[in-house]
Amino acid sequence: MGKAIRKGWGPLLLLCAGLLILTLFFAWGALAWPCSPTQPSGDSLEAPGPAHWLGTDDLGIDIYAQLSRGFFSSMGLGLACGALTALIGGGLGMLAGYKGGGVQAAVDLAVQVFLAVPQLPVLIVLGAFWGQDRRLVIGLIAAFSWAPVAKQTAAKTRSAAHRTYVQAARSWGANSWYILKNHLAADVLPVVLVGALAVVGKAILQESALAYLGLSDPTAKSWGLMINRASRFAGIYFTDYWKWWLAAPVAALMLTILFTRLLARWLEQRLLEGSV
Amino acid sequence: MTPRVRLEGLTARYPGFCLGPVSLDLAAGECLAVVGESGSGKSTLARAAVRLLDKDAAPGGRVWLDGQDLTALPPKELADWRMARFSIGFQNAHGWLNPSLTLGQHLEELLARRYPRAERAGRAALLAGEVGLEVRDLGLLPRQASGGMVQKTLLALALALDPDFVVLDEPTGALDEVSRRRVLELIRRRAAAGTAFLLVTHDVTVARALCARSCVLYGGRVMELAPTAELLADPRHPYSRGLIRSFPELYPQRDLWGIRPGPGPREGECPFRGRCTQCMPACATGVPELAEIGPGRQVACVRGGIAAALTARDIAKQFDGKPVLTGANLRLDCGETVALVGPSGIGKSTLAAILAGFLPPDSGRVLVNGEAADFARLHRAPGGVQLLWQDSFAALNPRFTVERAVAEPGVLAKLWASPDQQHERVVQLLRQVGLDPTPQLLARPTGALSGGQAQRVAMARALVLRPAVLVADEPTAQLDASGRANLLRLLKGMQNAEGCALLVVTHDPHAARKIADRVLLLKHGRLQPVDPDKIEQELEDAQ
Amino acid sequence: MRRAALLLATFAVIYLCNFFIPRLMPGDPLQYSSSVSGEDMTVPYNAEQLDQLRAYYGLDQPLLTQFARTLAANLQGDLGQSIHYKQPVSAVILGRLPWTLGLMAFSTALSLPLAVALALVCVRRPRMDKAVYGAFSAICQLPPYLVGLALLFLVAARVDWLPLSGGETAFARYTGLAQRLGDLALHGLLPAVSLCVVSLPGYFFTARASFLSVRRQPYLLAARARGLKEGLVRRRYILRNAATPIVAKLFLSIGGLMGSTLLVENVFAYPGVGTVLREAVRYRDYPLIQGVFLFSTVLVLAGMLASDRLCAGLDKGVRQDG
Repeated sequence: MGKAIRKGWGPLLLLCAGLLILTLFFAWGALAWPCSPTQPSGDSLEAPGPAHWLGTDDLGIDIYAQLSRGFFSSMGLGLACGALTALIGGGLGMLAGYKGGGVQAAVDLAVQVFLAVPQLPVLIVLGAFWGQDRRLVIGLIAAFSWAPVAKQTAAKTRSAAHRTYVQAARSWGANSWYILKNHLAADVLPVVLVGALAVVGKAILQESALAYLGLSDPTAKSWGLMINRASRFAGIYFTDYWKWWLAAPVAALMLTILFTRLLARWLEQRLLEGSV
Repeated sequence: MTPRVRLEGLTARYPGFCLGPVSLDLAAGECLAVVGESGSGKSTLARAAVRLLDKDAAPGGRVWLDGQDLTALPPKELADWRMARFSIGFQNAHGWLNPSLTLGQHLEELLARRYPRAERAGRAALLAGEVGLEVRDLGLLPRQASGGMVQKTLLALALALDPDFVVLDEPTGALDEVSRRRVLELIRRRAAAGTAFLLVTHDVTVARALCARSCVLYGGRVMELAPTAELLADPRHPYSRGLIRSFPELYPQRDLWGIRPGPGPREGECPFRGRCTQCMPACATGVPELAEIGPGRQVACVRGGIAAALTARDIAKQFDGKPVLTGANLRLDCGETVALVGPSGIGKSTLAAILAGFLPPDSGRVLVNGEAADFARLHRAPGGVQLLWQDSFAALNPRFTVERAVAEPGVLAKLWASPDQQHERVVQLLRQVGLDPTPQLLARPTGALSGGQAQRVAMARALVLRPAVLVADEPTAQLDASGRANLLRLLKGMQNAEGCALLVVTHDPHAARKIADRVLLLKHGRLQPVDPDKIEQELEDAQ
Repeated sequence: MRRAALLLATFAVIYLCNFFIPRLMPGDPLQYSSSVSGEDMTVPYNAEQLDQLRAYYGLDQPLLTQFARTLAANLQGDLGQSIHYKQPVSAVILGRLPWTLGLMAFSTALSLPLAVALALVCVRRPRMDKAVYGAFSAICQLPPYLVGLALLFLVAARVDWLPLSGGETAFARYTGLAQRLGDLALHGLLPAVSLCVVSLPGYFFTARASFLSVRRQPYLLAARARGLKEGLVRRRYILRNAATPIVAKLFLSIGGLMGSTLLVENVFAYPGVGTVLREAVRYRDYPLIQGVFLFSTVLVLAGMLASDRLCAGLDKGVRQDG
């Protein structure tokens, strides 16, 4: 432990601890908290107190319960998008970087096209048609996140695949699977991992942006939707309500994103230092 | 024309040793050298040629002298012929002389067979003068005489009665340079007068000085028979080559390496098989007979003499329209070390990559063992072609442990049935390249090795598949002087022990001179042989 | 040239997507769309709107005919009829465009000089550099609308001279141009600042990297060796040579900035394209949504093309010099 910190793994422990605390805090709210995230459990717009730690919204629904539900919904979506991105981006990137030639040209073209597409407007348009289906939202966000990951993975794979020892292994009859598994994975997987982790944070954000615009499943309790509803409450800035109704989801969103973002960044510096 | 002497199918048998059958012809006035390591059967052959073998040795075959079969002569007549018609001069040792007779008395005893008493002393003095003995030395007893005197006496005895056929066993072994020259001159004179000499020696310089033809004996059999000059310049049997290249007289610059040790001759197969660098399964199935391979040249080898492990024909390659190689030709024989030198950036590494099968040439062919090289198979099967990359660190996955890195080719080739076998082989290889295979070393990632260690690990890995051809690209480029010396010796030692053909690409003339049997210079996109002493000049010219 | 072709291909792909998306919906897209509520207030289409939509999409025609007609109409600048605004889509967008572009320009005018100045300072002060770099890498992914919201209830609600929403004071009578401009700036200040906060890190990173690479160049040492004044060196040697990547980044980030602007406008009820977009989403005004999308795509791709040209021009210049 002490050795790990000396080696500069301290920030990682700190970030993981932060994420763990957030998760536990919201797990408590989702599992053990008596109030329902969908049904009113108190008066409208109650201030934070012992019964409602973070108060209630205009319909009298407990904010803490909503936030907890939203955390897992957002995290789930973020992780799903991250996994999907890792799968598509990592897979295509490795394929392109390893095979080269026509495959690489095709993947390159796809990557270029997706990188050139303005993400938010596309998401808005697609969301307008398909935003109600959560799985489709995940798919859409992943579809617009895989390109950078694929690009980096392909570059890394290409550079790693041209190393002498890979050439040597190939000369001894190693097949592609052997080379990927034994010689390339250790170099390439961190790139995929870091890319996917960055996507987790970005996906949460994009979903919240879509929700804020009213382009997501209105029945799901997402933070974006909470912010949307609160910010459209007439005159909220002239009352004290924003202090718990609006500030709580904003703070939760910012904290979560900050943690995943810093984690991704730290991993990037740690794992990929000077090696891409 | 009948030869003066014909040895026909001479055989003999001792426990653990078997001579022949050996058949040789000697014309009148010819000197024929028989060369070979000690234990190759030279002395047995010498004695068989003069019918001196015990009955126990079951001597077989015939010896014809001027059309007379010596084996058919009755013993009494044979005794009369000895020393008069044919003679033998033994290898230098006091034991051959009677300790109670002086050197002169030995001579006179023999001269008595032909000359009257009055002539004997004069004859003896004459003979002594011919072989370089002082007259007063003749009064010495053998134990008082020096080795050189004994040797000269033995030679004088062999020549005393002017026989037609003389067998000499190491005639110059104990002589100083002056005496040696005198003795050689004497033999040459006698030969010119018509005497046939069979010179048994392990000293090729004697053969070079005297004999038009030489034969190479190993395991009691003639491996190669050829004009001496050709034999020395271009031996065609793996054994002759190994023997000849072990002589500092012939290769003053090179580090000397004997023929690699290995199992000795066994019956029913090629006697040299155990130490040969190019043996095939067929070598174990029968004893090869001498066969003609060129004018006056005969070789006893299943493969018809030294085989080319790697042949490159008219290799051409260009990069970005700029020709780098324009028809390079190369022959790398089995078990041979060839250095390929050239200034930096001239295309050496390109050629190395082409020869090792990692880069296709634009035109030209690469042959391995005489067939068009199928590198996909050669790289992954034992007995193929391996490349030792210039940058060992780049050639090793830094995350692999030493054991895993070394074992990788074998694992991919499914060489081992169990991890124990793998471990055993890796340990053995690491020892071979001079690393101490401790568990710590075996488990260390190759990225954490020093430069010299990485080079050795890469070398061990290249040996896993026991390559027939190993191409080493600038093996010493990244080492300091001491590391370079160590590595060169190691590389050559490894080549010697493994018996693979080694092509060393280097820009370092000293390294080339030290370890290479031949040196080739890459110049204007082609290869040309270069005298090891003149590498520096040639390199400057090539630049 | 290759790059331009690629962007053209990208545009073609996007255009095709835009065309096919409504036609890929299962069943009748219009029924489907109108029957699902995107927000808590659902407005079903009336018969007239449905007819308009059908006419616009031409759903009764074969696909190829539909495509040809849409293409022809789009080429003439006809993006269809907005259902909500009951105006041509192009007219709606063009009417709102100045606000959006103005806001983008305003925020860039704030963030770019600030980022460049910060980078110039940080490059020379490692400790400050470390702090700023760390802070920026933490906030560079904050969603702009959250920043806007935070600004709104942390700043605007507390200060009475800052307007909470809108692009200008309603029913105001201006005595002069200066007053009108001041009013506009006041309304645009918070949206621009929130955009600025979000785009600042990107510019900063680019400028910093650019300066660092220029600082390593020998000509800088040579300039100092000639005893030139520090200010002159900074202006003429560092800034001028480091400018190209920064300007290229400016063009490249048009896409991101555009997206951010669309969101931030909604936070401040700014009368730009973003609010139109939200209205369009709210009322399921598909022709308008697609129009906005097409329009923003063109803008983004144009920005990329400009950035490429810039870099290519620079490369060529260098080659000619050398």
